Amino acid sequence: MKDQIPELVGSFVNGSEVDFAMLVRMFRRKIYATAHKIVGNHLDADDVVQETFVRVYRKREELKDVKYFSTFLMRVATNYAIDLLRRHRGHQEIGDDTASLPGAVQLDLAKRVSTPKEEFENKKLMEEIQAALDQLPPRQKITAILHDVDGHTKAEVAAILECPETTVRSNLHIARTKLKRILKHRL
Amino acid sequence: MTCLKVVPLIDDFADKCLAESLKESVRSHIDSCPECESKLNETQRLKTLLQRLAVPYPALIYFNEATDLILTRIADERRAHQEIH
Repeated sequence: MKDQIPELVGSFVNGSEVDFAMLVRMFRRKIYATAHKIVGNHLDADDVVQETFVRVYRKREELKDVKYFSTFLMRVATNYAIDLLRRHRGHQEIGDDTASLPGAVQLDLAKRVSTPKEEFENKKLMEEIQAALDQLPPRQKITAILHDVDGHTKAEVAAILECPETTVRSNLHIARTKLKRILKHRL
Repeated sequence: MTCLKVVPLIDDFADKCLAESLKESVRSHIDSCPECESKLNETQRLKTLLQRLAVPYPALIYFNEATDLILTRIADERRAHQEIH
């Protein structure tokens, strides 16, 4: 599947909408998952998914000079997510809108827990981690999510956020220091 | 190595991306310094905790509908663009 990406991207840049649709199908879950961690709710994550792919389509000429499609895609997604976070600052918090999810909702972690009590505890933990991340400024939050949650390397995070690795290191260090303080009781 | 030099390297040590030339001396300091060891352990525990963050995934029908909406928006934009030119 991964080997197909450069070919699909090349074909998309040359005008193939079928291959663009294929790329959307390949990356939509990944973008949704990262977006949800950044914006913290389904409605905004949905907005990020749709806007990201529409913007990538508009910018397709730029893809001729792009080495990694996934980095480019993630950059467009995180930039838009940062815009959303900044727009929401000072506005009413968007709460847990899990109930608005279309179709069956599945907490990934629920697959690994067995009792209702464990499920409840895990849901509580997820909410605490998300609430802790939500207290960080956008760049620190996204750096922590991309590196510590999603497992990107510092070089990848630097490429996604278009900044030097030293900035990634510094943002990550500050984010971790704050998160350690907020989540102290869990460590 | 002193704590002053080791503390800024703890993140990279925990992330296993510290330069080979520094690894051994940082490891040896941490083994003999409870404070730096505690900082490393705390960083590792935080990383483990953050890795557990999972998001509620919508069903496949959502992703299919979102994909349709994206493709419709693009088709509309293309049509509008063609009408202008």
